[in-house]
Amino acid sequence: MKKRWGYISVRIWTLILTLWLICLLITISLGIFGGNAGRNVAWLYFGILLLVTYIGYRYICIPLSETKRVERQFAAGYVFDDLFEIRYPYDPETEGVQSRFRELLDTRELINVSKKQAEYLALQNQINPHFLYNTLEGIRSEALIAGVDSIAEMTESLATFFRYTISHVEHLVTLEDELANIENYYYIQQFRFGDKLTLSIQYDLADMEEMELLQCRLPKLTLQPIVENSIYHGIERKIGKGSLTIRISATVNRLLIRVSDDGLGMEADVLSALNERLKSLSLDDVNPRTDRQGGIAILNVNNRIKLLFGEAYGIYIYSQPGAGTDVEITLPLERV
Amino acid sequence: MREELLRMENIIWESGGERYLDNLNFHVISGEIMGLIASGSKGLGQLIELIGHNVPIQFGRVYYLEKLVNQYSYSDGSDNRVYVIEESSGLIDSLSVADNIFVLRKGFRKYVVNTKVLNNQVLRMVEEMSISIPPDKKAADLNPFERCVVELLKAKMMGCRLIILKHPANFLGQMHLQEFHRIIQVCCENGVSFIYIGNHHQDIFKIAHRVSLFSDGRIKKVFVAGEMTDAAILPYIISYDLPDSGIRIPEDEIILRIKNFSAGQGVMADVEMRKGECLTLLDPENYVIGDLGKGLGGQLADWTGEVMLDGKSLRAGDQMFRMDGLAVIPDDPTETYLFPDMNAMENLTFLLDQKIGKSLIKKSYLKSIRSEYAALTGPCIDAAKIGELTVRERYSLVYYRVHLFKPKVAVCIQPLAKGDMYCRRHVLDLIFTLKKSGISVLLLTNNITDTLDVSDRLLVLTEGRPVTEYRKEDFDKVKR
Repeated sequence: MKKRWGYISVRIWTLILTLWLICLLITISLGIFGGNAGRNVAWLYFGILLLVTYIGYRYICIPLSETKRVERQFAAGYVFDDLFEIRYPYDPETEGVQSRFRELLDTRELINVSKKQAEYLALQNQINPHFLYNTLEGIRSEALIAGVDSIAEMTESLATFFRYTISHVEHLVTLEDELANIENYYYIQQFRFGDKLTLSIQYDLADMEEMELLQCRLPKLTLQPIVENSIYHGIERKIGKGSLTIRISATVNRLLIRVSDDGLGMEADVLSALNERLKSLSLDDVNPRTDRQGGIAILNVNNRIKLLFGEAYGIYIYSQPGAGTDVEITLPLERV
Repeated sequence: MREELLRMENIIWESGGERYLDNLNFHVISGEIMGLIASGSKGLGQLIELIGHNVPIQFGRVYYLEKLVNQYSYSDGSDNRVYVIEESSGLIDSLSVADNIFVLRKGFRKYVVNTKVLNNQVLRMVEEMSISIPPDKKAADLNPFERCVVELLKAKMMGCRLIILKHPANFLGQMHLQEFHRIIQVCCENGVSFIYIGNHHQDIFKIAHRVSLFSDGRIKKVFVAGEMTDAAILPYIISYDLPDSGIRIPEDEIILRIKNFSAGQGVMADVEMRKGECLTLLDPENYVIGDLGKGLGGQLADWTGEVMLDGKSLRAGDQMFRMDGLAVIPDDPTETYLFPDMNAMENLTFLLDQKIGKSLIKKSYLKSIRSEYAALTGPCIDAAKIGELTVRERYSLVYYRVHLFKPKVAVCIQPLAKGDMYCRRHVLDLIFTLKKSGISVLLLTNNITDTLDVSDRLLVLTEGRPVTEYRKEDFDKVKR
């Protein structure tokens, strides 16, 4: 950070304050030493000084503090878009710089990076998809010939799952497609968990048709990483049965999806830190590292939502140790 | 499709170096009753204030009727159309019902008030709710239920679509509370939403569409339909189980007898209390226990009937709290039972001079009391100003003062009505401490939730008459 006098704002404020004090001193001197006429002039000057001070406070200081607040939050990493929507820029040149900065920092690039990260997660060891589908189809055929239908079904489900997740991560898919993928994923997991794991999907329809709700659009691979997290962190390590519930509701402008599990839950400090990272765009995690693959999935989903729709949307988590976790996903209501 | 009336995203509100709202998310849909249970009360007042007024926040956004009204970068200090109905009245006592509803609202531009027209409008509005309130009745003469209904109508006239109900169970009797619930459900059908704040999940689960659990400045859990069960909330609340050790079995001797007590409104028939017993008197309609509490506390100049304490007759105007008589703890003792100008020890030993019959208490006595009670109250016993104490510490001072006095009977009026979950648990522990020391405890309440944990016997009153009695072994049959 620069030394104080390196900042232009410090120099400007010092100058303004000095001038203001000089004016005040002159006014007081006039009042004391200027006699009757001088006193009257002093009062007039004082009134003008007060008026100028008020105007300066109302029309300069207050907007300036608003602008500085946004800049401070951007510098702290809490906001992103707001920097480009400042209501009171310093001057036309600064406004131009912000526009240009926004163009350079093309969010599409960020989305692409984030998508690539999602694809990377899905690709795991970067297996060639065609090779994978062909191999799975081969296994399925062998299983059918051998009369082991359960293996054939499992292989088919796995192929369907990979076909959905590994293929190009488009921006938006329908809720119906996402839920179909979840059901397929759950079917695969049941081979491992048996009746230890149950999944239910509930709709809070109000005056919306279920079909209408299912056609709402959301980013691909929004739900599966969260469901996977719930199973891995919540239910897998739990003694006894665990249940997953996906609740879907909508308001006039928003689609609300809640993924709840009755697993182990999270400690308060871990939950607090995670929600802190989720409340803003977390660009630090764009570079994937294999040792943190599991941890960044939920941040990735959150980032993609915020990049696509804005910082008002995203993920928030409620959790209690021993009771379970609710992951609340907020999206704009985008219909086909 | 449902409209979102209120949405708060990632709210952080700090003041005086203290964070009151910590990354809070909260939303209310149009036409719903959102229950709000505060397991810890820190930040609850700030949340209510932020819902009604767009005060500066450190982070986050607030939307009202889908419009951004407040954000961290800019707060214009404006008000949202939100109304709060609470224990203290929001009406002008000297004005009539009609005047309170119509004349005082913004936008009423008439210079000549046509009382007949306004009264007819009020009659139409109350008829829609299937109740009867005279429009020309003065606000000061309204009972708590009528006052709540009038405030509800006032809120509707002001165009408020979000109404906050602060602990209505604390000041409405059971019957009135049920009727009020019916009325707010009717209002919900017309698109009005409510935030129903209460302490007891059993009550809130019955009325709310969703329930949010608030603690430490954030929402910890949102319960939806199907999740509102005792089992679901259990991991989020503290246990109210009291230790079994040290319980004294009540004796057969009668210590307190109340017969035909009346202070004008209701009459209380025979009630007897045994020595060492903890008796809960449940008056769901608030028919008589309000007056009984005031009468026993010496606040009523006149009452009729008979009150016998250990064979001695007590009369109106008798100073109850002296020597080994009767101690009455009001429903808000942290405000009305302690003296802010005195320090903690002075509050603890208040009137002790009368108990021991000496005008000056020896320093050695005070030292002994201090060393005995410091182990119970903690370091707050040395506080120079009780204003610095937490609510729990103040409750400790109140109950340990009674404990020190060792009256024959301690009467607690609505002991668990106020305070968050941790506070109520602490009060139960304090009542248990009184009981263990041999003091008979009479609990006067219009809501039995949690008081049964410490009681030996429950008497349910109807119009002042005990109609049902439950012994401790029968408490599981009691509907909460």
